[in-house]
This record gives sequence, structure tokens and C-alpha cells, in this order.
Amino acid sequence: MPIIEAKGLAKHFKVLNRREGLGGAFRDLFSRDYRCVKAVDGIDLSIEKGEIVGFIGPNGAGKSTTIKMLIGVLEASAGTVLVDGFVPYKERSRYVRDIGVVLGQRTQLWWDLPVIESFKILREIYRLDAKAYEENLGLFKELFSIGDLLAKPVRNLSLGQRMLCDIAAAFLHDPKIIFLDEPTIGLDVEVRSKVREVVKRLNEEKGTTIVLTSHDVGDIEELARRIILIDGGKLLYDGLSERFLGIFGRFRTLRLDCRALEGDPRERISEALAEAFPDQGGPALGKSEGSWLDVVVNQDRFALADVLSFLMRKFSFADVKVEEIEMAEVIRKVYEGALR
Amino acid sequence: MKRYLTVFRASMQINLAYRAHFLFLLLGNAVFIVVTWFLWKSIYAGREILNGMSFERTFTYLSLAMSVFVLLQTWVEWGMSQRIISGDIVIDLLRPLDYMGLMVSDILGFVAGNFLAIALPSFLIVVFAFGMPVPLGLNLPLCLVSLALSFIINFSIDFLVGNLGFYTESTWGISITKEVIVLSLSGALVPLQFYPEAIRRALEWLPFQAIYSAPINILTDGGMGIGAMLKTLGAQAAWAAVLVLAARAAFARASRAVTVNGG
Repeated sequence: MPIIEAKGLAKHFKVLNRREGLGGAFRDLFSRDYRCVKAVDGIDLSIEKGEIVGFIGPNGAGKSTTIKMLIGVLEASAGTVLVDGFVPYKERSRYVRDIGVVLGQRTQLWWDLPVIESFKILREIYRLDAKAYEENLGLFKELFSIGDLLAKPVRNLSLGQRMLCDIAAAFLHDPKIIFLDEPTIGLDVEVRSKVREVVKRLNEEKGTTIVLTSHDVGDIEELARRIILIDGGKLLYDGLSERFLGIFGRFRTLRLDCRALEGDPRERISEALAEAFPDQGGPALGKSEGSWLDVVVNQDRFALADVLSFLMRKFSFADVKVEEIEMAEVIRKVYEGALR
Repeated sequence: MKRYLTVFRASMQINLAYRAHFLFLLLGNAVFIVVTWFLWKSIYAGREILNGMSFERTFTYLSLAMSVFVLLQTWVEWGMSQRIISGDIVIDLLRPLDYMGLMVSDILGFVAGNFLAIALPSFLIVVFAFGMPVPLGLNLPLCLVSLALSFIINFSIDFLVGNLGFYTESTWGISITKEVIVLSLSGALVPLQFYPEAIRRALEWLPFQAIYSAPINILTDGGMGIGAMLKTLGAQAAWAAVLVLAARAAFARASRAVTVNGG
């Protein structure tokens, strides 16, 4: 039996259409015009015990809203949801004892107190026995290397340190399910990989079911065996991450600074690529941003090194970067039928 | 219960860490008491009795009322609306505790600190520095019981108003309005005896007078018998019960309107 099950889950918000400027703000005082935003628009989910599931999608896709309905903070506008036998919203104060939540942009720790004091308070309010508490604390010290941080007040921690402590806090009371909403947001590469490693280890050690959201494909690549892609409040893909990454993991974005090029760089590069790589018209051009132009390279069809060296020989760029495929590009390709 | 005690202790620990906060509360309150002395000295202008109250009683009443005001002023509705606007309310809702219970425990941590810094020193200043006559007896413990009930009434009113934040997202204006209503209708600024008879009668049917008049009258009115004191406490307890229930009902309804801002 799945531990999380949702059918036709939806959340609609009534949003005020604000008029522009000061005059508009005055008029809003007297007459108001609302519109309905469908943040989540009919999602079906079924998650088994012990799974790590990643929700991905661009900003504003409805990932966080979905999570907030699953943790019982928001009431669904339509549809049903059952988590571990509870209707999260209705039985919140009982239900939240068995889950742990990490919200990337907020902390559940006591800002003014040392980290260890927060852990002690959590131990009390979750009625954790001394043995389980000591065991978990020992495990966290070993996995997270947060031993030195425990005596510091939370407000003196860096974002990365705080995030590790917040994750530890969420796992402290041995919850059955952990929800992580954007756990890697704003973190540098090193801390990000630490967060991923820690979450993965805890899932293995404790068998905790983990649901996380991210707009970073890398998080999913490292952690989740299953991904759920959301855009515009709708489910675009729900399946093994291998298949998803098999398609999108092979794409790279080549970012070229064309400020030194004469004429229309888009046209010139597109023509040169089509000529040199005749297979299906060559690597596709992505978006242009200022003097930057993106070339999206599917490594199944073209060798990245070939494309790069060809372009560098032919043109002189002020700067060149190689990046993972962007979320917006993934979504565009899904709509074009890449996963069908 | 022990879980709420933990929250209370943490809140008190945080509050006690800010020494300057206490110093200025103490100083500000002492200045207010001195100002009250001069202001009412000139209002009495040599007269013995005004509206049936001697200068000593009026002054004692008002300085203690202000101390109770500072003691109970915990910005509950302001804190709630800030957490609603920033979205941090999610964190509170995710604790495996009753939300109102969590808030009370947290706020009590601050009030306990304020009690040591405000209520006690003010009482000592009024009695010893100004030599005001305050009877000492059974009225002292009963006054503490009354203060506890005042806290519950005041907290429930604040909490009720705070719930409006779920709908309006900004409670500054509402908060100020509430403050003015409570202060003027409770007799915290001017003793109720100075109000016209009809208004005073009407005010006795509202919960506000139960916040300030009750504990201070119990403490300072030497002529009050034990029966009258218990009757006052009973009325306070009734108001406390009604308002707590109203606040709980309001929260159960309002929290459905949560939208959670900022991701």
C-alpha cells in the first residue's frame, strides 16, 4: 500500500489583480478585481514506503504548493490526499509527529539559541526518548560533521551550515516521511553535494521515505530514482529518473559571449553549424541574453568537443561556458514530445 | 504539558539574553510613573477628592495600570501577522503542538521576564518611593491570580485580532485600533470612576475592564472584602473562558485561509 496517495489534487488561489502605480493602489482600495490562479491543477500521485521521489519543475510550477498540501499546511481546493493513513490538513497536529519537513528558505531552529538547544527543545516536543536522541545525534555528528556547529547560535551559521542543521533537525524524531522543499537553494557546489550525500545516507540507514523538490536537475540525478516533472500545476512526467536523465542528462548548454562578433551572431553561428554538422541541421540554438547566445548540444548526436573546437576555430568569442541543460529548456523539449 | 513548558523555558531564555531591553523597559516605566505624578497632581490642584477618588488612589491606580499594560503588551497580533506575511507561520503549524498553546507558552516566556523587570519594581516604586498606602494581606496572592486571568483575557483578544492577519495580511491599522479601544475602555488611561455614569455602566459589561481594573482594585482597594474579591475573580474567569473559546474557534476558521507566502 502506498504511503502517499493523492487523486486529482488541486489548489486554486484567488489573487488580486493590482493596478499599476500609486494611482492604481488608490483605486484598488475601493474596487477590487480578482482572478483565479490554478497553482496545482489536478495531480495524481502514489508514492511507496522508502522511495526517494524528486519533484522538479521551473519556478512557479506548483512544486511547493503540492508539498504544502502534502504536509497539511494548505487545504486542497479539490481532490483527495492520504498520507500514512491521515488526511494531512484535517489531522495536522497528530499527523506532523510522524513527518519531518525542511523548507529551504526558512529554518525551524530557534534563531537566538545554540543549535544543540534547538535539538533539545525538539526532543522534548516530539517526546523522543534519551536513547533514540543520543543515537541520532551520534549519527548526525558522524554523517554531517556538525559536531563543531552545535554550540553556535543559529543566527551565526552560514546558509550551508544552517541547512545541514535543519536537515538533522527534521530527521531527529525518526519520522516516517521527510519532505524537503528546495533543500539546495542558494548553496555552493560543495555544500550542495554534502546535502545530497547526507539525505541519501539517511534514506539508506533509516529507510525514511523522502520527497524533495528542486529546480536543479543535479539534485535529482544524485538522489531520486523516480522523478515527477511539474509545470503549470500539471504533471508532465512521472517515472524512473534513469529514463529522464537518459534524455536530458545528455544535453549540454554551450554559452557563447558574442560581443566581439560582427553582424548577427545568431544567423552566422546557425549557418556555420548547419554547414559543419549536416545531421538534422546541427546543434540547435537556444535563447539569446544580452551578448550571450546558447547552443544546445545533444551529446548522443554530436561530440561536445567537436562542436566547441569548431566554433572556437571559426569565431572569436569573448567568453565560453559549458552548463547543464536549463529547466526551461527541459520543459520546452517535453512539450515538443521528448519523453513520449 | 511538559512540551509547552519547554517552549516557555526557551522563550524566557531568549528574552533574558537581552539585558538592554530590560533596562529600558524599567527606565521607561519609572519615567512614566513620575510624569503621572506631576500630571495628576496638577489635575487635582489641591483638591482632596475627585469623582470619589483621592489623589493617592488615582495615582496608585494609574501607575499600576501602566505597569500592567507594559507587562501584558506582547505584540501577539503583530507577531502573528509578521509570520503570516513572511510565510514563517508554516513552521509554527508544523510543530506537533496546539497552535494557541504554542503561542501562549512562547509569550509567557516574555511576560515572565517582564514581570521581574516591570511589575515588581513598579510596585516597589509606588509603595516605597512615593509612600503610597497599599494594604498587604490576602490581596497580594489574589492579585497574582487576577493578573494571570488578565493575561489570558488580553492574550485572547490579541489572538482574536491576530487571526484577521490571515485575511488582510496586514494588521497594523487593526492593531492600533484595538490598542486604543482596549486602553480607553478598560480604564487604563483614566480611572473608570472619571467616566460619566451611563458609559461606566455600559463598560462593566465589556471584557476590557476585567484586564486592568480587576487586579489593581484587588491590590489597592483596602475596603474590598474577600467576597467582593472572589466575585471580581469569578467575572474575570468567565470572560477568560468565553474569549479563549472564541479565539480557538476563530483560529480553526481563519487558518483555513492560509496561503503561505514566499515559496
